[in-house]
Amino acid sequence: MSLLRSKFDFLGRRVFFLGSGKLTVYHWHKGGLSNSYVFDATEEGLFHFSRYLEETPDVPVYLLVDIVEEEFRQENIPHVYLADRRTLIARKKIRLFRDSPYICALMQGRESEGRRDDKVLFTALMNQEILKPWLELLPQHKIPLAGIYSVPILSETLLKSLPGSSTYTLIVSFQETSGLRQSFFHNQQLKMSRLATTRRMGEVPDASYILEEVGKIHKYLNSLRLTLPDEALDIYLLSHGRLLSDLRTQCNDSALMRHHLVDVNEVGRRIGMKRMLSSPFCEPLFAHLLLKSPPKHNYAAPSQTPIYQLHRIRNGLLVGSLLLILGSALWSGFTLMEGIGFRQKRIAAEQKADFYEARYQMARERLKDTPVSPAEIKVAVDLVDTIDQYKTSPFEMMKIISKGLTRFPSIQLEKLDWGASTDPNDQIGNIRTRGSENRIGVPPTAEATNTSYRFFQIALVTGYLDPFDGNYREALATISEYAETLRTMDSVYDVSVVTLPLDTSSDARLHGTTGSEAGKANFSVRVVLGMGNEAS
Amino acid sequence: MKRADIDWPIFRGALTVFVLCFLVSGAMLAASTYFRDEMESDFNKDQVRFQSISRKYLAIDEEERFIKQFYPRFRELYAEGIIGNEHRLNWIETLRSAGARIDLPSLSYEITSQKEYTPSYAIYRGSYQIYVSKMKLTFGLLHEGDLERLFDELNQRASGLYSVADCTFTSSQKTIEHDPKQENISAQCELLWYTIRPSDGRQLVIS
Repeated sequence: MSLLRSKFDFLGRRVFFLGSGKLTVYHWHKGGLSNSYVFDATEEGLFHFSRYLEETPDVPVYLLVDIVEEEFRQENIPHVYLADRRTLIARKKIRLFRDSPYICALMQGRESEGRRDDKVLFTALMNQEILKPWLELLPQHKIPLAGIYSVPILSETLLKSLPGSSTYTLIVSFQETSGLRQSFFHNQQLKMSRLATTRRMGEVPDASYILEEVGKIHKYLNSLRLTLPDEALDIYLLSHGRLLSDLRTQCNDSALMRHHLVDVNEVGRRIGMKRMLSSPFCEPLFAHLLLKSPPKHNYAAPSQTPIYQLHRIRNGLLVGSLLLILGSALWSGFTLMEGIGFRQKRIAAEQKADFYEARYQMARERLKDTPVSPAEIKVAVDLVDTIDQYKTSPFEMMKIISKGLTRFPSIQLEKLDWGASTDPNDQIGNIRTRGSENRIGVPPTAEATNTSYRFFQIALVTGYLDPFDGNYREALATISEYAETLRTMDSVYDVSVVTLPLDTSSDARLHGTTGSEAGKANFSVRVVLGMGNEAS
Repeated sequence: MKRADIDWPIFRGALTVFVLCFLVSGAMLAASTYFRDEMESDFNKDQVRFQSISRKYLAIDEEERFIKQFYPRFRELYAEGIIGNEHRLNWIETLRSAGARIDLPSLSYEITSQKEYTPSYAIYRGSYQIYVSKMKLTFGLLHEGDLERLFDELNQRASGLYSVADCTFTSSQKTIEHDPKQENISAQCELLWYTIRPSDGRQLVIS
């Protein structure tokens, strides 16, 4: 027994196989069972057990119970979900096994008829006194209890490893610690189990005794109508050596009973045991099976295994720590490699940059020293040239207006408003509304008229007719003709008459006298010149 | 499980190991990420420098051509006050001498402070900013020819580049008077005087 108690034994676990008078310990080592120790349920045995607990590592304990005082009750409950089901099961547990803290509910499918209720097998360990002295020692030594299992419940797992399958199955196993265990299954589901204690514990029973007990349970099953009268019961007898030979000679198959004699080593091989067994006792089989694949259900509620929960947290923390350090080391390694890669590339880029810098400086020495870079010199010159292309003056407009006026001596010029814009619709004169932001010299907006002209000169010509004799028809005709004359001239993009001496439109208000004195014939014309035709 | 039920010694060691691993992992990740980011940043800087200098080196012949082709004109524009600082004194002197030479009946001017300017037409400015000073001229004309002579004087004698933004001409007399002191047309024009300078505020000095 090791005196060194490791705090960090991740994989270690052990089975305490408890019968009514003995407890056998099986240790798990490298995927199989190793040492085993036996303790009697006496004061001396408990003392030695306490020493054992103190001196061995605090690895989790799986308590496997095989006692007579285990009861089985098949019940149906309404098919409900989650919290309702939990409540129903909890009530049933209390009603069925009021005095036991170790109750288990195995869900076994649903009824095929009626309300289709859930079938539940309730099992309970009714004699706490058998467990109590052993369990009391565990917290004292801070030993984590993983769970409390029973051989019948575990037999359901064992059933999957037996050859063949049938509707009604009886597994008969013999344990040195407890006695002859017979577990009955219907459709691979545990229905009931019985433990028959031998006259002398630890002694190998004779075949006739076993077959007698099997006969008894067969009758019992028939009386409870757990088997159908015309269906055969497959009986698996787990044994070894002489007992197996004796059983083979004494077993007589019938239409209702089929005997399957299975060597414990054959079962051991099927469940992955490496160790060969030399006796017909099945404790090592169950211990191995429990440690290898513990059943989902056990008698201990999480609240009854606080130290184990802490151990799980501890193991979780340690595994988490390991994963954290490995993960971060891996990630950091990749990041570091990436960084080193960048450093190599940086060195290469630096060397190439220095190389070209030296050659560029040598080449620059033969160039003239300039206040800005040569590229900026070109940009500046191009910039000035572009601005120069938009340079404007009112002379072109004045020439066109004067040319038009020479043909119309009666038109007197009073005022001329002139401006330049990239928008031919820009307003010039007193009215400056839409488009005034496109005037040359005014910052632009997104909206600008897209024409082939680079920009436009716009003038608002305000004048009057002199002499004017009150003949508005003639005056309107003269102004219209003047506008038409302007429209025919080169570079003229648009001409429009803005105001007339007399507004004859139906929308306007009109007043005057019909006397001999004539009024003044004022008018205004808007002229637009297109400048820098890029299409031509 | 209540806090009081927790048997701390069972996992105190594991908790300590976890905290240590957490700190060490954090430090490793932070350090490696910092190293990688620094190296990447340095690499990017040197890569940009390399690309820039290699482009410049490959463009050296073109730069030589630019200097040969454009630098003389650049110097001229600098001398005229179109690139660099504007020559306001020269404008005023030119206006005064033009007014006297043309014998304008009246001429007054007003120049606003220089401001940044964005034209309404598409233009590539590169690393330069365009500035304008608005000059408002109010003058009297004997006839239209005086206006042309005035702008000719400005074109020939004033240092700078300008464009006429708008003008308003109003007839002062019903009939044209031929007295040189008589104002037949009153005019108001706004001129934009353009200057370009590096937008980063560098002062250009050409000796």
